[in-house]
Amino acid sequence: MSAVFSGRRQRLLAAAHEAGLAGLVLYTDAVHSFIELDPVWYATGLRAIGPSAMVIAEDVDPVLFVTPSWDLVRARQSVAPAGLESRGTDALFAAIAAAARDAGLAAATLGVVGAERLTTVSKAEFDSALGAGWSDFDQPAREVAIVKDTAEQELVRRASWIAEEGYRQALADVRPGMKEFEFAGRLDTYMHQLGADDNFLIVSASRHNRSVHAPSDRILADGDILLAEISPSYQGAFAQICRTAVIGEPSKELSDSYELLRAAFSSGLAKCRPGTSMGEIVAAVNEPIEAAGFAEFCRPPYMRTRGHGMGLGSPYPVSVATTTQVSLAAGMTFVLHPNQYLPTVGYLMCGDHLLITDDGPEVLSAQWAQLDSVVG
Amino acid sequence: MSINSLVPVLVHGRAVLDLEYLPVDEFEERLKAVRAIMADSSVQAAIIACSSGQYANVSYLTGYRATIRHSVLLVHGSRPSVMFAGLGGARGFDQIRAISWVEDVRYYGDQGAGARAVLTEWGVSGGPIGVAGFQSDVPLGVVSEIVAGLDGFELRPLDEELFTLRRRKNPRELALLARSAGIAARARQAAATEFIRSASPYKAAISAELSARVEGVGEFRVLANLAEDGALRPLGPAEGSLSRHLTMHIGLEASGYWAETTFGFPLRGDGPGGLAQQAVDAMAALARPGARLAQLADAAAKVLDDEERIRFATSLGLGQGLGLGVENELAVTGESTATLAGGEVLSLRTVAAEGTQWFPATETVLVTAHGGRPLTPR
Repeated sequence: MSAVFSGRRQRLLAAAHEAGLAGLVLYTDAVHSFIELDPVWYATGLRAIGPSAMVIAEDVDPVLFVTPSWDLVRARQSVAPAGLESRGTDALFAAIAAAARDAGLAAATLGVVGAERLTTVSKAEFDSALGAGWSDFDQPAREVAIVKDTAEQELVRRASWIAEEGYRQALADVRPGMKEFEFAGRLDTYMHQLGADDNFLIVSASRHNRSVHAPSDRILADGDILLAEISPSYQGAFAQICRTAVIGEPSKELSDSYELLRAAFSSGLAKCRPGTSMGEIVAAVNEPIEAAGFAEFCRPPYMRTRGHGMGLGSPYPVSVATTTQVSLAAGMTFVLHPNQYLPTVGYLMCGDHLLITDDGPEVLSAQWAQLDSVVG
Repeated sequence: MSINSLVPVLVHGRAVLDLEYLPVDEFEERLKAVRAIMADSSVQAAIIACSSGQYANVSYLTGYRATIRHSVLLVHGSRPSVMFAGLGGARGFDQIRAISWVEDVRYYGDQGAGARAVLTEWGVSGGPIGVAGFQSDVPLGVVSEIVAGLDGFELRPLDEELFTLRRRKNPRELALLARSAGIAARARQAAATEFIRSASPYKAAISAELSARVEGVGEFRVLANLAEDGALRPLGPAEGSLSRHLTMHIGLEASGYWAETTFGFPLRGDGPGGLAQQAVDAMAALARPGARLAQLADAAAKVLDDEERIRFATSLGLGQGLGLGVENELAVTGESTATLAGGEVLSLRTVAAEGTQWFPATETVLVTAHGGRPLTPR
């Protein structure tokens, strides 16, 4: 693993050099977002639980400074495979400033990845310690991480498996009388048992869903259509599946509608290969839905995106939307989800995580989304 | 060590506007109090920013907490409030309306332009307006964008006034805090039961989580001694090792209000465990109006009576205020200059160690004239 992380640091550093910078400060505030790069996670493998940072530059032995200092034991274990030293500190910015000073790096020669996380107060403290004149290097860093390396792809693959397996286990528990939040809680706990360290999870149900929303007190009943957006993280790498299950026997109209979404998924999937633009994928996903007479529901306010990237690495390809100016490249991973509101049966969810390879897309799920039904 | 750590990427448990515990009149009263602050500060409107990690001010007024990005609440002296939230999709608005008291939810790509548009709708074209959350609740980039749209306005910070309003808990809030503490106590019991069965801190943590989640918590965070070194860790890919003892920190939120507990099992009333409990008791006894938080920290240090023990305990934190999140303004430290007013809820904590084994003691107390009153029975 040492080579993975040193390779990432080298790529970041090469981009910094190209921008005329001598080194980088990698900073996390430890408030993780599943659609934002966490540079400390990316460069070290540590998912920090407090603000943490490091300086990287040519011929400088990198040291990761972690807060809270009591988390040093875990931090050391986490970053040892990355070949890094770590130290606990209660004065993070002072430690970073000292590391930069020791390396002979003036603030004006440094880029900061994670600069967008600084608040008014923390930015003032950061400047006071390091000095002003550094550059925000967040966007170039996202672009460095745009293609997921093999190690990150494997974590995403594992996360996708956890999503499927957790859903399978939780679905076996569903019964009328259970509350939405109880189903969500069981699903989440199962995924923890399978190794997930976080989850972007939304679960709700209705006989005619307008959308999916946070789980409520609603009691599940026969005929309910249960929606689940399941996005576990495995060691900081996220994958997402979108699933729909009906409690009881599905009507023919519901089954047919779900097949329409599966057709949309397949249509979009066929376009997913290196070089394809997001607009082309969106058009392909929409084509069968529009042909079935639901064109107006493929646009706002009913529809915003047909998928997105995620993970503590690069969020690219950001959003599968016509406004996204990104083309696919081998090594990208993202969820493709033709989730769709249909006036006939309501909102349905259908999506799986993809890895883009030179030969085209690989769907990471063993079982692609289908309309599930559970005994009522 | 506190619930500050391990912020998940999304609150994914029960997250609804809990009108049973917090009926509309509760929010109306809160809004009235904020409007009184605005009037005292001579501002016609206030702009309050929050993020998924720092959301108490906005949650206090709306029930809503930001999910994957920041949110902005605009409050007028008499008109209905407006909230900017979500990413602009219809699906997001449905979710936001389900968990917020505010009816007018909007999305603006540029928060500053949005703020100016709403102020213009309200006929507020210049002069002083109140702001909160601009210092440390949202990234500077968000603040800069909002401020750029407010050229010509004088911005008056209201952070301290809003915290003064929130720090004193009313009976409904105390009921919710006690309810959360009860869920935490049952999660703790579930963990102990599983630990007796399996000797696995990992399985104990999973059991604690399941217990809390099926009771309807919005968020659940746990640290446990998952490895032989005894240090607390979050749940991860490995099941960890079996152990002769369990150490666990649980933080959970139900209906917006937090509880936290740190405990060891089996319990030990003597030695380091007894000392940790005595230190917590000493802090709790002093938790009365007029007491300085530094005095509480000093009392704990006096009980621990050893430089290394004090250093270890303070490195893990001696506690802080608790409500719609952690209230770091009320952190119990030797350097704190804050004074208790009465009506606050404090989460007090001391951890002692012997070798690799940690001996934590915690108590959540209401600050009263008679000292800290435990929120739930021990």
